[in-house]
Amino acid sequence: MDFERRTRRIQELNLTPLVDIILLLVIFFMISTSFVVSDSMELSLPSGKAEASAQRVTRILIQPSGEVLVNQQPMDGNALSNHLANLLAVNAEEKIAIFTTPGVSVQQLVSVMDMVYLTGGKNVQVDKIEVPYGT
Amino acid sequence: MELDFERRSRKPRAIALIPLIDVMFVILLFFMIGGHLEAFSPVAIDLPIADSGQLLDEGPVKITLAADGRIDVNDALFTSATVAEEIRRQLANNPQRIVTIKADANLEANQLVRLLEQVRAAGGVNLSIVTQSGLVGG
Repeated sequence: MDFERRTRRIQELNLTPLVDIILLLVIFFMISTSFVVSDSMELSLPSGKAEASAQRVTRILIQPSGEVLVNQQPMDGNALSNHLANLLAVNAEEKIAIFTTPGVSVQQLVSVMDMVYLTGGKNVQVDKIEVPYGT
Repeated sequence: MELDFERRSRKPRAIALIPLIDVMFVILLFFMIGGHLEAFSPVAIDLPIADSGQLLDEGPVKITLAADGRIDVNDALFTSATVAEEIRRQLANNPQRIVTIKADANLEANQLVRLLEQVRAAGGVNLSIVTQSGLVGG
């Protein structure tokens, strides 16, 4: 009698171990997946000193305030992209050198590079100035 | 009527697990398909946001620059003084190796440029810096 009753009970499948395992998998994937899509920008290396003076180069200097100086002229973001579009329309191979000054963050540098690449610039080089500009 | 009600309330002793399993399966599928697994890095960084980034393969030389100045070359930690030698060692056999740089968005750009100069000094030519697209990162 007792044996018979037991076999009838086990007809329902025990789902608790399944739930345990699925919960572990959910936690594993929640912790280890990332939804950030990372992209890359190709970058030219800083030029040697001799090469810089030999050819016509557009110099973009980034200041910590976010303002940029293009060949010594202060510009904001819109003016910079217009200026770059004009330059690149004349000469698509225009050399562009981006200079960072102390206090400029990587995000500011990448934003300016982004603007140059989006307007079609290809010859981009990055260099730095060790002393704060204008002091 | 009364009896029937009593019998029903006594029956559902075991909680129904099927809906729970259904929901967890959906969550599991969402994370498995929606995201992607990423190698764990000993230094955590915020990638800078840019729109013009392309999907490029990561190079064999991966350099991570954290906001606090720590430098990680292929999962080993270096300081700004010792990293130049490591880069030279990595590029000694083949200067064409692709160098992938992940720099924290809040890092001083001059420190990034200093590293670029060290890569250049070691003879490196293929270089890319990693960004994230603004749409997702926001």
